[in-house]
Amino acid sequence: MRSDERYTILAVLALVVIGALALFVSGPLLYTLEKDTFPSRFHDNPDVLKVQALNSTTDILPLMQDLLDYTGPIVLNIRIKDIEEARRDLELFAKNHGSFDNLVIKLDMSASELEEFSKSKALQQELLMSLLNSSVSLDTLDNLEILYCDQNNPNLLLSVRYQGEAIRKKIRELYAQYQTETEKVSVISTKYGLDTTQEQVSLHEFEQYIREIGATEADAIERSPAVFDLPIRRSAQLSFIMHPDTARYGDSIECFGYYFSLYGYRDQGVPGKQVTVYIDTTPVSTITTDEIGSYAVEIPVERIRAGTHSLHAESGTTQSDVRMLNIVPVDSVTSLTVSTANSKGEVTCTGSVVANRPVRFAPVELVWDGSHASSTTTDAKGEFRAPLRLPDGTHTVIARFSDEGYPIRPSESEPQVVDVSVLRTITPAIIIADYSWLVLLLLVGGIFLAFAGGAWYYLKRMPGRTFFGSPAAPPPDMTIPAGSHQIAGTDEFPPLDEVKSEPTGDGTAPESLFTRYAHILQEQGLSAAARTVYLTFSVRIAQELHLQRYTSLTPREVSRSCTKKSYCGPFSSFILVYEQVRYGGYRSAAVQAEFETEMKNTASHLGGEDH
Amino acid sequence: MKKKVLFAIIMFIWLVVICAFMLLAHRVDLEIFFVLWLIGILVIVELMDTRFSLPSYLRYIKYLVAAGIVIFGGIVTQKVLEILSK
Repeated sequence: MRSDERYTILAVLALVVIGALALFVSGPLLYTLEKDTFPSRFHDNPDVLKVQALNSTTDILPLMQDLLDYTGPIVLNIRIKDIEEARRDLELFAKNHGSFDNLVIKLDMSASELEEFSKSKALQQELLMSLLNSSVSLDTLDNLEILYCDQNNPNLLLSVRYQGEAIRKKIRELYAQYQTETEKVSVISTKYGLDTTQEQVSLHEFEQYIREIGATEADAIERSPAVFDLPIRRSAQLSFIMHPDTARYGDSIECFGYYFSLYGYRDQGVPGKQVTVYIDTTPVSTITTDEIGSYAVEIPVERIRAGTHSLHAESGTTQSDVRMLNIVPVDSVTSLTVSTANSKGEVTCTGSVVANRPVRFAPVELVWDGSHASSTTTDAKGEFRAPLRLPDGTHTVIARFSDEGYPIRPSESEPQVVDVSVLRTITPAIIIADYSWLVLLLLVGGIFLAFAGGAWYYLKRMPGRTFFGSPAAPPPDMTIPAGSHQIAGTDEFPPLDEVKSEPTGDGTAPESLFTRYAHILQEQGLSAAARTVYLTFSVRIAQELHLQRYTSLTPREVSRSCTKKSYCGPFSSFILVYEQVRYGGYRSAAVQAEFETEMKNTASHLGGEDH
Repeated sequence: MKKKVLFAIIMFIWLVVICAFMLLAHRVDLEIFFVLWLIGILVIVELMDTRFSLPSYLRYIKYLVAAGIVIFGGIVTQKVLEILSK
């Protein structure tokens, strides 16, 4: 195979490899032990878990133990109906779980058992929150049941009972899920040598709670009359109960009821019926009855006027009784922070509106100098952020919340004074903030250019030189024997045949080329003199043509490198005679005369190049 | 032995050493591989460079090193941007 074919194949292979590697430019980390994934949980790499356990024991195990210790007290508090304490514990549990989750991500422990632990704990947290809410609803229903029983209102009593039954069923389902997650958590925790006593306590307390609510249900059935005295109607009936009947912004109204119809002499729930709940005459929610004909919906109190409202449910032509809901107005607090003005006179207004809870998606008016206004809206967290362009001068800005559609009293923030001055002090920080993209571009360009410059310098530098310094002294044989001039690296090359302009250090004028030639000819002979003349010419040509390694070139190579110059012809002729003298050993008077003629000819051409 | 051959052998050994250590560390990272390759080639070229002549193969290797320095600049820029975006 020919060499060019070999090189072509090699180049193609190199390009293929570079192309394949280029595919991974965006993610150059091809493999790590932690990134290693296996198709099933039976293929977990035990080395990973070992390494993770060793690296993270001090950080993660105490946090895991804390998470394990929360569940027992929470379920106990729910069981003994200490709702406030249970809520506080749940909040702490959620906070700690968030920290644990962050740690798992920070330590890059995803796809490990610890992530499984974290997921199970998150589910446990959700289940306990549902249990807490269900427990509160169940207590409310118990109170309502007693009330309707005393009022001898069988219709509503039946609805309350069905709703209670649905909640008890939901709690039993929660228990089944909680049991599964607790088992998972216990297995993982035992592997790490953690104490799971509180997990077992929580499971036990949960079980006890289920027994207790079962007993309450049995009591209620025993307490209630065996036969309900229902008015006989041929049409279907829809009951509607709501709780509480007085609410503030941010509260939730629980609405539930029962859709039933008369079949023969028995009332029976009708499943799959669409029920719409109305506030005044506005539909707010539509739901479907379950398999026993009951329905339940939670209506948050948000954008609804303060005062008394009527609520009822409808399904087709069937309408429930009307209940009255009293919405109590609450005070609000509006806060505002104004940033310093940027170079365009823009300020950023940030703040929040809070009334009992953060006021979501509410309109906020930004008023400056009492006469100009601009509006914005709060986000899901009740916070707002809006830019405001102000003219030069000092301004007072306030944020105002006022919307009669909300059961919230109007409020406005403390006035904020902001100075937008024409003669703004332009600090480097302001310039960087205003032109951050330009600064970034300059930074990136600067770094890249610095490296490109480094690459260029690397290609141009010569070994043996100091950094950007003058070249090192030439080897001894490169020095011209006579005179003070050095051949290599001579920056100031003297005119070839001029002796009058530059005096030497001892006060005498420097030698011309011909004088030097004559001296060396007399002292060392024609060969040495010819060598001196050649070296002088070659230094001059190397400087002219920027030949870096001219000392390693032969006389013919030097003459070939100057083809486009006017002195090239005479110099080539000079080289021919020089070779005769230096290498051919010709020392006759004719050859010497020819050499001197060519030397003068070349010198005159080189000297006439306007140097 | 010719310098050209010696260069190829030393470069091969250096790359094998890098690969071996990456496998032992259970971490195969192209960025690290590239930077270690660049360091290796810079050292080798510096040691084999001549003062008064520049063989063509050495000139081509120097072009390769210069391209490597520019790519390294790109990596540094990318890292700076990553740090700034955090």
